[in-house]
Amino acid sequence: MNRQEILDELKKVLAPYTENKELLAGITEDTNLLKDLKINSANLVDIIIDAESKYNIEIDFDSAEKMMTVRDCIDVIGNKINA
Amino acid sequence: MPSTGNDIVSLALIDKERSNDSRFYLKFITPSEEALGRQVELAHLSFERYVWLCWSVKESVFKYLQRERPQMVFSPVKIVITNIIAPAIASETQRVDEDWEGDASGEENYRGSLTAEENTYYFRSKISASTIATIVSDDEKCKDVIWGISHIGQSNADLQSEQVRSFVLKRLQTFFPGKALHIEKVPAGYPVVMEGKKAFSLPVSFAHHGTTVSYSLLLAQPIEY
Repeated sequence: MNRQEILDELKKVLAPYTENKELLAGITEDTNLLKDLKINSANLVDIIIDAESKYNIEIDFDSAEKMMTVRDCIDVIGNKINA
Repeated sequence: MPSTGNDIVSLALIDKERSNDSRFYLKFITPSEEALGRQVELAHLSFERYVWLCWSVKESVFKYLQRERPQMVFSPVKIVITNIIAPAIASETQRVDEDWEGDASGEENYRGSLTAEENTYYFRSKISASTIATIVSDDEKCKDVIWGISHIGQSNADLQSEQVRSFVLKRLQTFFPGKALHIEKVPAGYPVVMEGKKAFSLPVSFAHHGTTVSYSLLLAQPIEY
């Protein structure tokens, strides 16, 4: 998967936890999950678990704590897919 | 650096089945904490509530530490809860589900300790039918921490933010009557109490989830005008 394909799937992962769908539609790699998308921090683990299922990967502690922006998420997911 | 941190979890929004799944909770709970949750003293507390109690404690201490370490990354497995004591009237507190404000040092709360960044911190938690709310302090008795929990009508993020600010400013007026105070958020992400362009040396923390908001204030510090 290239970065755009990962991003397209990531939007589906984030959708249940994002109140403002317009913000979600317009995300860029700089978008911060908490500050920009206003996702509640209580849902961060849900996103990790859903991403693991969506991409058939396992996201370890060290990688999970880096996933604060869309860019971070794509980097972590891309590295796990290609590992 | 004196600080404060709090968190609130709306139980209506948690996925009960997922919360009991080890694949989920082991993302932020350590094996020692899992064992702690199975202890007899906490038997009245369902495991999913225990899981979210742990989350709220960890989120609270992260907010506490973020004030002194703005670049800190939230790494919940590196924050370890070492002790939890249930209140003597735990079954009664579970039925309380109303707005509340007061001092955090009371024995009616769940209380315990944790380690983070090689230091020990202490927490108080209130568990009601609809929420789990927690404050963290560096003082064992959580002295001088003022705490508030409120239920609001909607879960809109902007409204949550507006309501929690209004809630804490109303409380601050009882301590500083006549002062035109407002709240600003610094780029690192934590809130600061301001009068005009001057910041008060008064640590404050906000939390919201669903239709609930909460704050904690540390009042022990000298106030700078």
